[in-house]
Amino acid sequence: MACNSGSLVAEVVVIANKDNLVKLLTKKQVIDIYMGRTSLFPDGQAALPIDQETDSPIRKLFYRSLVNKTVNEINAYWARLIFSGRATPPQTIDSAQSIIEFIKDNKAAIAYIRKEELTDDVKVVTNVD
Amino acid sequence: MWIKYFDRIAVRLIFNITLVATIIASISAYIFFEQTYKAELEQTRTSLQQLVQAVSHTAAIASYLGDVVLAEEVVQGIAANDLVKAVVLKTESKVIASKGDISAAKEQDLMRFSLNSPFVKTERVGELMVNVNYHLIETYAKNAAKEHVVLITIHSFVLIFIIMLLLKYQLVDVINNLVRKLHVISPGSGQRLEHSAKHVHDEIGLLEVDINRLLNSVEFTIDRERSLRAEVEELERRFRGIFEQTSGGIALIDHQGYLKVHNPAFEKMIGSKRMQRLTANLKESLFSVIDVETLTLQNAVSRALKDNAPVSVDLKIFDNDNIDWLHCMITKVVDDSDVPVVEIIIQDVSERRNREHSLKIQAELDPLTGLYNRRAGKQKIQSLLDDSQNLDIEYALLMIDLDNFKPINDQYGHKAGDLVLTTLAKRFIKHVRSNDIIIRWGGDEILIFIMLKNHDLNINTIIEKLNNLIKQPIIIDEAKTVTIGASIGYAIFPLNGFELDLLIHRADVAMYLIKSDAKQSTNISITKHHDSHTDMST
Repeated sequence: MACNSGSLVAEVVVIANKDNLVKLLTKKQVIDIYMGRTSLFPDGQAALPIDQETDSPIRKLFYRSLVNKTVNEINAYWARLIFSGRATPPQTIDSAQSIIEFIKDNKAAIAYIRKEELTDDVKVVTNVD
Repeated sequence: MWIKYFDRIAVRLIFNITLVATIIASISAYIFFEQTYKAELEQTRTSLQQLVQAVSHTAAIASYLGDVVLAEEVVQGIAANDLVKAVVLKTESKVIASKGDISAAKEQDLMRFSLNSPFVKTERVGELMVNVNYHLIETYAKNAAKEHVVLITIHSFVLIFIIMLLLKYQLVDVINNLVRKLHVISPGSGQRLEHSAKHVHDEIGLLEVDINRLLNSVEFTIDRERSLRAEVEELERRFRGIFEQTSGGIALIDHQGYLKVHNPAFEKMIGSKRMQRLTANLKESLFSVIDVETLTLQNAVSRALKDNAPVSVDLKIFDNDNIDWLHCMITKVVDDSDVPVVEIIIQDVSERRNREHSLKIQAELDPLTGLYNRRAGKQKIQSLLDDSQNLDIEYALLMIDLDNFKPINDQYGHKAGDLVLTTLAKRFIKHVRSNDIIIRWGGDEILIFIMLKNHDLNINTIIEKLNNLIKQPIIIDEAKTVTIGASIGYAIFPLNGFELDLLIHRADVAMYLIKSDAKQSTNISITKHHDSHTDMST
């Protein structure tokens, strides 16, 4: 799988606010949140998914690992849903530092970063591989 | 033309082609209809499936997200197809979009598409149900199939029409043309088929050449037969001329005597009355028209047929009072038929026969009186006597000697004497019966041989009659008449003898006795001499 090649280069981890009650998310739960099927965590709290920069390798790696799709395919998916308004794509934040900062301040936020960029300010809810 | 309409090749050809083509077109139309119908049905179903397939990704997304707007969009898109009656899109838990009433749809009219999550293929997120209007599909398929059949039919008929045109121009017209040309040619007229330039190298050309060759040979045969026939006719004319003009009567008859052919000479000889009987509607046989000679001719014909050799006979036939003698040469004719035929060649030999007859008469009769001469008369009497030996018949032999004949001769000349003799001869002939015999026995002696029928004739009466005949006046010329007497002696057969010479002798003796007795005016003979004087009145 593409995840294998990803794991050689880098390991992607899904992170959340330390205060978030959710301890661990399944891959399916991550997909449903990121693909707009649900805007809630399994415990019923609101979930706010954060995307990395559009052209970043980490974003590419994340979607490849998660749903085995290219970023273009994910963009096309969202483009199809633009007019229905039922679901909206995740918000984009530039860098890993900014993302960690944002999550520290936002209890509902959920994001993905490289494992080596991980700090103690956030907690890992899923290892994507 | 001269051929019945349906017997024409062209008509039959067109009929047969049309028939076969119609049958083939019908069968193929049926097959095409079935095939087209099935294909159309399948095609429609496939394209419907493809249509749904095309939107199934979007439908999957809609049901994954439970996105009603998107789901609506998908459902409207599918329902826009007129083959779709109703569409329902639902997630695992509820219907998120629908168009039309799907609840009434039968299960077999439903197309169901399972929708999986766009991201996790194994996760089923919903279902898309399409109620297909199969009736409409079938109608479309039928229409398409019908169109197909119509096209095939039109195509077939156009093809038939073209084939018929080609047949007409390339075959039927050519044959008709040939037939028409050949029909007006009568063999022997020297006409030939014109070679058509278009067909020099094909079968028609070959046929024309062969027909002309055949006409040549037929004409040659006809010419030869004509000249042969002319020869035969000429020959026949000549033979007929010979047959018609020959003096010999020629006829062909069958074994029963029926006439087949004859020539004019035959007709002339056989006589017109007999000819009528031979050729009438109810034909008579030649055998039955020739009077007394039937058996003679019949025998001769059967002999000729049996012996294969010519047979000749003389036939006596009566033509009014005349007797005709026909010499017949009868020959068997070799014929192809089974009925035997004989040829009869006849010649009229009456003249010769009559001449012979008159010669015979001359030899037997006294030229002056026409009475039998002595030799012939004796023969006749002898033959009568020969026939009468055993019969109870009496004959009287009378010897008549004229008295005073010599003085008449001397006084009036030989002519007068001859006249006396001929006159008396005529009287005797007139008064005796036909089978009595009168002989000029000597110069003035006459012998009469009379049958006395069973004694009913008295000899004295006879003598008296004779004397009466003799003493009738005899006219010498206009101025002179003489009366003469006679001495008559007689002898009776068989009373006075059986032998002729003896009878003659006895009669002679008796006659002389009377003569001398008369001269002595005595009357002692058996026969009385009543009148012995000579009257020489003027």
